Amino acid sequence: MIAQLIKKELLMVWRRPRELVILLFMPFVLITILGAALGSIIDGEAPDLNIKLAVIQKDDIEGGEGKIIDKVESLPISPEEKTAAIEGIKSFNPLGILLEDVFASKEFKDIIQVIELEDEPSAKEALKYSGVLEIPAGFTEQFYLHSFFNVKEVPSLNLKLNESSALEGSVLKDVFSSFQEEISLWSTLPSLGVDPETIQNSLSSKVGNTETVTKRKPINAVTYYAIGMCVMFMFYVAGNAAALALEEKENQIYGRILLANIPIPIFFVGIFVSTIVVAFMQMNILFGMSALIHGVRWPNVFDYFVVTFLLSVMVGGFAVFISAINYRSNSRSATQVFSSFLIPIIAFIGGSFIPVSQIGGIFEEISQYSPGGAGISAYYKIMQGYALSDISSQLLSVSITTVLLLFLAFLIQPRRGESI
Amino acid sequence: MLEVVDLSKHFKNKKAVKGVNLYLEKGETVGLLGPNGAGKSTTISLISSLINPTSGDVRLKNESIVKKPEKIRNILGVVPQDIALYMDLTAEENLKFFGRIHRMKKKELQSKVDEILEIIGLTERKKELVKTFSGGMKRRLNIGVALLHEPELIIMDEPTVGIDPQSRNYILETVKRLNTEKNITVLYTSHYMEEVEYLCDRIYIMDHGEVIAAGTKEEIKSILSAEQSIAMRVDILKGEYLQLLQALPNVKSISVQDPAITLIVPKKVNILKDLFKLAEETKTNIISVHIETPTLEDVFLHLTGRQLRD
Repeated sequence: MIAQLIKKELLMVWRRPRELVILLFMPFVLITILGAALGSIIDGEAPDLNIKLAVIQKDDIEGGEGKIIDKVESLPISPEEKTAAIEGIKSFNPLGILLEDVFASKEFKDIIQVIELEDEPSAKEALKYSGVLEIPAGFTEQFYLHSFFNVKEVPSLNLKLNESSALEGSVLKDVFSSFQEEISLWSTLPSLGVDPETIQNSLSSKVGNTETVTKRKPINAVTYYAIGMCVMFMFYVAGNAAALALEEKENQIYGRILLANIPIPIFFVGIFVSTIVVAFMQMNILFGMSALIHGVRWPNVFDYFVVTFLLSVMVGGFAVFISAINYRSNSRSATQVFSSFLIPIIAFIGGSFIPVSQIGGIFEEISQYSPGGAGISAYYKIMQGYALSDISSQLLSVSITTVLLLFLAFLIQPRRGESI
Repeated sequence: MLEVVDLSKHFKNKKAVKGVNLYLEKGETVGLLGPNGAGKSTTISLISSLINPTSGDVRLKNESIVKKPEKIRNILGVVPQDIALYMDLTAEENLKFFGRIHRMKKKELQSKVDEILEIIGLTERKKELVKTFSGGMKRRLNIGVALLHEPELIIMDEPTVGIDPQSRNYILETVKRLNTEKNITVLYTSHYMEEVEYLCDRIYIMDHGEVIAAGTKEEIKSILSAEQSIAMRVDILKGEYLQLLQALPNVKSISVQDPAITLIVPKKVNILKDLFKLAEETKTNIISVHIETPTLEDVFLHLTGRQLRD
C-alpha cells in the first residue's frame, strides 16, 4: 500500500519540471554562485589590502642588550647561571621578532609595507600611512629590565592609526595587540622556569597564522554552501509534498482513497514515508553532484547517511504536519506560509546563507538546535572529521523536532467521517 | 439493496440535507436531480460513508453503514464530480494505482486494467499522461477508476459536466451497458434532464436539502398531468408583456429563456386568445407557439421554480 503511495509520489515529482527545478536545479546553481561569490568570507581569504606602516626607530637595540648583559655579568651569581641568563637574553629580541619575523613573514609581507622614517612625520605626511609606529628609546633595555630584574615599568610601543583607513588600521591593531599580549606573557616566563627559546619559536607563527579553534579541517566556501543550500532546499520537499497532498483532497482523490478502505492515518503515513524517500534521494543527488563538480567529499560516508536519513525523517514530519493543517483548514495557506516565509527563516537561523558563528552569542546557540541549524551543524562537523558521538546533541534535536511534528500532525489530522 | 432513512447533515451555519429518504433496488438506475446547492453532493458523500450524518441512517442490505462504512466501501464505486485522477500519471498508471489501493492482486489487476481500458475506449491512449487528455477522455477514465474493483453499486455525481456531446453519448452508453450487462446498480446525478430521462428507472428531485418529488418518470410527469406546456418564441421580449402573462389567472408557472417563454396552464383552458391579445397590446411579435405535454424539465421547474441548470 505504502509502496504504491511512494511510487506515485516519485513519479509525480519526476514528471513535474517545476518541482525538479526547485528541488535540484536551484540549490545546485546557488551552491555554485554563493560558493564563488562569498568564498572569500567563508574561506577567510584576506581582502586586497595595502598597509603602509611608518616605523620611527629611536631605540638602540644592541646598546640596550649590551647594557643588560653587563648588568648580568656584575651579578653575584655562578658563571653557569650568568651564561644561561645571557643566552636567554640573546635568544629573545622583541623588536627583532616584530620587525623581522612578523612583518617580514610570508603572511604579512604582501600586505604590510614597512617604511622606516628618521623623524616623526607631520600631520599631513602621516595621512599617507595606515599607521605610524614609534619605538621609543630604551625600549629593549626596559623590556629586559622588566623581564629579568622585576622592574615594574612595562615597556610599550606607540602606534598611531590613520582613522581614514579603518580596515588597514584594524589589521595593524590586531597584529600589535597579539604581539603585545605574547610579549607580556613571555616576560613573566623566566620566573616560571619555561625555556624562552621554545616560546619564541611559536610566537612568530602564532601572530601570523590562522588556525581553526578546534584544530579540525577547515571548511571551504563551496562545501559550506553545498551543505547550507542542500539543507535549506530539503525543506521544500515538505512544502511540495503538502501541496500535492492538498491537491489530492481538492480533486477528491483523497475521498477516493478513503473509499478504498484506507484508514486516514495510513494515508498520512504514505505522505510521511514518501517525503522521506524524496528528501533522501534529493540530498544524495545534490551531494553527489557537488562531489563530482565541486569536489565536496565526505570523510565518513556512513555518518553522512545517518545524518541525511534523520534529516529526511524530520522533513517527512514537516510534510505531515503541514498537510494535517491544510486538510483541517481546507486551504493551502499553511503550505504557502511554510514555503514563502518559514523556510527562508529556518535557513537563515540555521546558517544556510552566512555562518552563524560570525553573529555569535545566543543566536549561535539557537541556531545549533533549530531544525535547519542542527542539520547544518551536524553536516559541518562530519565534514570536519568529527564522529557521530560528537553531534549527538544535534541529532537529538532533529529527532525531538520530528517526534513533536508527528505528534501534532496526529492531533490535527482529520477524523473519519468529518467533512472531506 | 440500499435504503436511506431520514438522513440529515447540518454544517455550522447550514442544514445541507434535511430528512432525506430514498432507496435503490438491485440493478436499478436511479436519478438524483436538483439545482446547484440542492444537497445532492452532500447526500452522495453521506451515502458513500465519506462523511457522517447528523442524524438518520444509511442501510445496506439491512445493515447500517454509518458504524461500519467498510460494508459499503467494498461494493461501492464512486465517480466524483471532479476529475479525481493524477494528471501527471498515465491512464494505465492511474488505474493500477487505484487498483492496488483496492488491494487487487498484481495478476488480476493487469487483466482488469486492460478490460476497463477497453470499456472506456482508452486502450490506445493508455500510456499517455492524463493531463494531455481531452475533457471527455478524463471523464471516461474517471468512471473507469470507479469500475476497477467490480462494484455492485456505482454512484455518479454529474459525470458528464463540461464535455463534448460525443463523449457524453459514449459515457451514457457505457453506463447503460454496465447497468444492463453487469447488473450494476446506479445512482446518477446530473444537470441534464435528458440524461436522467434516458438512463433512469426512477427519479428523486431534491431542492434545499430535501426530496421534493420521487417516482418513475411517468409518476413524476403525472404531477403535471392535468396541465399542458405552452412554449412560445417572441422577437423581442418586453417586461410589460411578461407581467401581463404572469397576471393571467390560469398561468401556474412561467419560465423565461429569452426569447423563449414557457407557460404551464391547465389542460382544456384556451389561453391562446389571451396570449395574442396581450402581445398586440404590448406590440410584441410572437414568432411561434407550441402546445406540449409537460416534460420532466417542466415538472422540475414547477416544483423548484428554477431551471435545472440554474
